[in-house]
Amino acid sequence: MNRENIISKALEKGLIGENDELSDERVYNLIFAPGFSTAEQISDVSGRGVGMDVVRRNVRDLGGNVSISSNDGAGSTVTIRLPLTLAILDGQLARIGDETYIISLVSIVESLQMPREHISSVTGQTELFRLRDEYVPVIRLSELLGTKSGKTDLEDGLLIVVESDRQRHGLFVDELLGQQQVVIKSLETNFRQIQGISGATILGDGTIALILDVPGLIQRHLEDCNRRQQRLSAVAC
Amino acid sequence: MGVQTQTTEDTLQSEDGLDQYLSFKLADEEYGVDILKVQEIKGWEGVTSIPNMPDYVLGVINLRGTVVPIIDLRKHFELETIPFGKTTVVIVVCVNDEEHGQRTMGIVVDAVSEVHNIAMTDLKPAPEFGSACSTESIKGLATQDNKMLIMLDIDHLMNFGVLQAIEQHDTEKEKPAGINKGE
Repeated sequence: MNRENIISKALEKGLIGENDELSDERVYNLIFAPGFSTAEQISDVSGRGVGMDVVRRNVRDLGGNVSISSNDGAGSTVTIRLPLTLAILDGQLARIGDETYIISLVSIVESLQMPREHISSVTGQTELFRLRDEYVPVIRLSELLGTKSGKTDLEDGLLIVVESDRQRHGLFVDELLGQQQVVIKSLETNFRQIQGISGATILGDGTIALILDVPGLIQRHLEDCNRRQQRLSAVAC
Repeated sequence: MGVQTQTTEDTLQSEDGLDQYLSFKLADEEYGVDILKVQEIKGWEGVTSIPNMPDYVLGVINLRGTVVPIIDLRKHFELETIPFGKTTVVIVVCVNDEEHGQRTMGIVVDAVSEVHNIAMTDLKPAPEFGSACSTESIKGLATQDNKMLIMLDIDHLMNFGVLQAIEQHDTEKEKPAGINKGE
């Protein structure tokens, strides 16, 4: 970038005084000022002095910062720094047995208690809950996740209705614990990917809560049901 | 968090060719682990369990902001399990895998013993055990103070012994019921 051009333009716009001390860093970062442009001609995507200002504002809104360094004739480097905590999720904490799990709020449609008269089953296997005018399959998370404790009576716990792929399912949990923003920690860095779990987070008291992956859980539930079905038909033969 | 680049054992050998190993007890057996792989030793504080894993994967812990999986070696080696006591510790190791890079994992052992200086040349090759621990995970056997130390290749044990075993555990679960006998 041409330092002289920038300085003369800045002087023209009154952004700097004649005798101001101008480090390279300060000069090059002048281009972020709103309305600042050294272009002689305006094209349809540049020249108005708006672009860099928008970039800086957006980056700052995300909690980061942007800076430029340049060597005349050698090139320029734009550095954008963004904080790590962008991997944030708005989650619903739910307790199943002794463990706390997190479900992304984005997937949740509603949460409710199940009155006995609305619960029914199909072929003695799948449990359905009548939610107003539709039937929602109930997924017992304690079975799917292998937690040892956990409520067994559907009337005692809560149903979290989730939507994935335009299909609704109900996740049966013991208790709802609250909503909070959580920072997503990867399980794959040190371990491996687990179907149904999209990551982990560290709660305020230092304990770990696993973040449930709703589509993965539904998939696993369907696979389990199919396997159970095959087992039954094998025995029946 | 800073990540230290892993240097090979050769370049860090002392002049007399001795390597340092941390030994720990499991049941009546003593095992040794290359001390350069050991990141730290923590007391046992409880884990958050992970669904549908083999029983030797106890779960994960929060290690200063990182999620670290914890493996119970007694269960993995199919030794009799005992309740965790005052000396039960977790040895946090940094293992390397060609594809994945570095992993930080923890192993639960009965107690740590001490650090020994042992030369690679003093290690006797391990005979075929036919045990739960494949001989590739064992670098060799050493004798120290009249006791036998089983030197573990912790990289191999974690990457192949544990992680691959988990893969197999998963694929077995998916077999249709007809193949399983006695169902």
